[in-house]
Amino acid sequence: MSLKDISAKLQDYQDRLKQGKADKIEPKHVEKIIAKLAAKESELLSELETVTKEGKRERLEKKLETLRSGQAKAKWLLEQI
Amino acid sequence: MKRLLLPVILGILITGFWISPDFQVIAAGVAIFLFGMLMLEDGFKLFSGGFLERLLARATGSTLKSLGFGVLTTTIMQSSSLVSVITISFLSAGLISLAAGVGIIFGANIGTTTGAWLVAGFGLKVKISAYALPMLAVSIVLVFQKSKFLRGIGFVLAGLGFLFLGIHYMKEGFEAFKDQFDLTRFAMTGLAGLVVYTLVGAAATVVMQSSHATMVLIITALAAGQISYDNALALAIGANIGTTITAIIGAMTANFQGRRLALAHLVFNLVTAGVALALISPLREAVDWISAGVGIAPDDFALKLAVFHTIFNTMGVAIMLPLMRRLIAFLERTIAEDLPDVSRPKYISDAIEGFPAAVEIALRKEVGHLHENAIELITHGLNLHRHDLYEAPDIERYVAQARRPFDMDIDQAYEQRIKVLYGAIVEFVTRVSTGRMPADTIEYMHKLREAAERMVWAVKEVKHMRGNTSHYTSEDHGVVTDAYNTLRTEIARIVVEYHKMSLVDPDARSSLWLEEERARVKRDKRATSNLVEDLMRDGGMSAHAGTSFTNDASYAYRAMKDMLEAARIFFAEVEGPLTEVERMLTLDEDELDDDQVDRQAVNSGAAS
Repeated sequence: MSLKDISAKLQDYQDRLKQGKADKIEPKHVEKIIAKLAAKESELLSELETVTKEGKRERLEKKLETLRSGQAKAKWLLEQI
Repeated sequence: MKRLLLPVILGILITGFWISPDFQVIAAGVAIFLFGMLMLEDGFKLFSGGFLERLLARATGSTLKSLGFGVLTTTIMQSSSLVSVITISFLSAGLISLAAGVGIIFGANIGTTTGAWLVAGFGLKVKISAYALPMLAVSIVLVFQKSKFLRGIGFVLAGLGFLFLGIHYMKEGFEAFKDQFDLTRFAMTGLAGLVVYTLVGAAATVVMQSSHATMVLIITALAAGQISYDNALALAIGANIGTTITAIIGAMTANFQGRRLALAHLVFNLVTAGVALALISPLREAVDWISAGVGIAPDDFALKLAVFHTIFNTMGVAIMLPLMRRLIAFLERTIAEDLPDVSRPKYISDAIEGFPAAVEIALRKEVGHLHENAIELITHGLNLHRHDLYEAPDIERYVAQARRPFDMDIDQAYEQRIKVLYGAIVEFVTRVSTGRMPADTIEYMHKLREAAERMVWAVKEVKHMRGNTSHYTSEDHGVVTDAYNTLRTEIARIVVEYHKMSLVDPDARSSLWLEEERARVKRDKRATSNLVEDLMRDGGMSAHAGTSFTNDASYAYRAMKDMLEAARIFFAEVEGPLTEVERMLTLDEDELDDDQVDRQAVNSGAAS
């Protein structure tokens, strides 16, 4: 997901918020999600240390990559909120 | 009996109206009082949507906490019936333990005695209607407000206004009635008086469905000198027995736990009544002694009745509290746990309707129950054991070794384990959504229904691919077996991810953890399709096997997608703002397509 995608979603959220159709997001809410992603990241890193099988390593690395991409978007969102 | 009750009550009322106009005033007073109680209950239900239920849910820490909570809520709400019914609904939904439920019911019996104090100490001493009328006028303004909170206050205020007005009319009616009739002529003394008036008190409460209303009637009649003090004591004991009918009716649609609680209520009130009847003389003396100690006039029988009501209910709790464990054991022995029929709903029932938080929790648990059944069927359909799978250090290897087909009729299993349960969930959501549920609860219920639906679809997809999967994986068919094992492995990995998510504390997990799995399904699907084409082109896979596999791969990837969607919805945040954040960070379907296919990586996975 590119920043453009999340930016469009943010705009949609702000429109809904103005119409009273969305709950207001505060920084603590985004921080909570970031913390959950970080918890999963450290769990995956620990698992990665013990894994030797190539296929499994690849899957874990790819999962980490997707997770970090999500974290980056969440951090961007935190700045916007 | 039930058919006769209504004509009998109506007959009594009409005869009473014909004999005495004052009887009309008393009957209207009772009616207005009961109407007030209904409004009070409606008002407190409007505060729900969580508030009341969250408070109840917290009262599970210890027996004393539950007891205190029962006292407090019943004192505030002035309705032990409402507290009992909500407690039964929460117990049925599996939100509180039986011990906590019993503690709350014990406390409610003490809390309900405050009603007698309010009427005897305040209702009879001041011109209560002077408060009632302004309360009603203000309440109606609030009832028409948009805000649920203000409407709730309006209903509570109106409820209290009608309670006061009802008391006023009962008081007026008895005052006027005594000039025409002397009910004390029917006073009975001795054991006969005790028994007869206890039965009358119980019957009156069963008819009115409110011990509070019976107590007010007794107190106002006593204050007007229409019944003797001794008979009033027996009537109060009877009211305590009669009030159990509300919990019994409430438990009729509840599960075994709800029925146990109703039995606990009955046992408690019968034991308390029995002890009170046996010790009526010492109790009378204790009332006189306490009344003198707190400055109640010897002839203020209304207040002395309130003292008696409190003493005998508190005594009941003092007797039963040390026997709590034995009582629970007795309840568990007498009402056996419903047979663990996994095909039937375990949590959703009529008993929880009307309480949004209980509905949400019970429905969530029921969907979890359906998911559990579905995952069992999906794994068995692929000839895999769930628990072995969860323990397997290498999923791919475990799947390759699991070659023995399960002896099962998957169509029959689907009908029994999935369809019945899913039907019950859909029926429940449809029925409850049309009630007075808050909009966010209805939205959440529909999301949960979708989570159930997606998992059901996944089972259906696996059902379709089971035949060929068993055929090609029970014996070695070279690359075809490898290809089918790849599909089984990919589904198995999603099952394991679901299981891992279910083990994490709801407050610590995020459905965003499944984003990579969602993207991977898309990548794997494309990679598998390419791989099969290559194999068919090279002659490694026959056209017949290739066609079968292509169809089954299509079922498999749809099953994976549905399972992940079911998990994403089921494990999603439930708190509004967190849901918004999660929604923004979740990849849309078209965003998943944007990812480039990592051919090399996927090929290595598919061919392994």
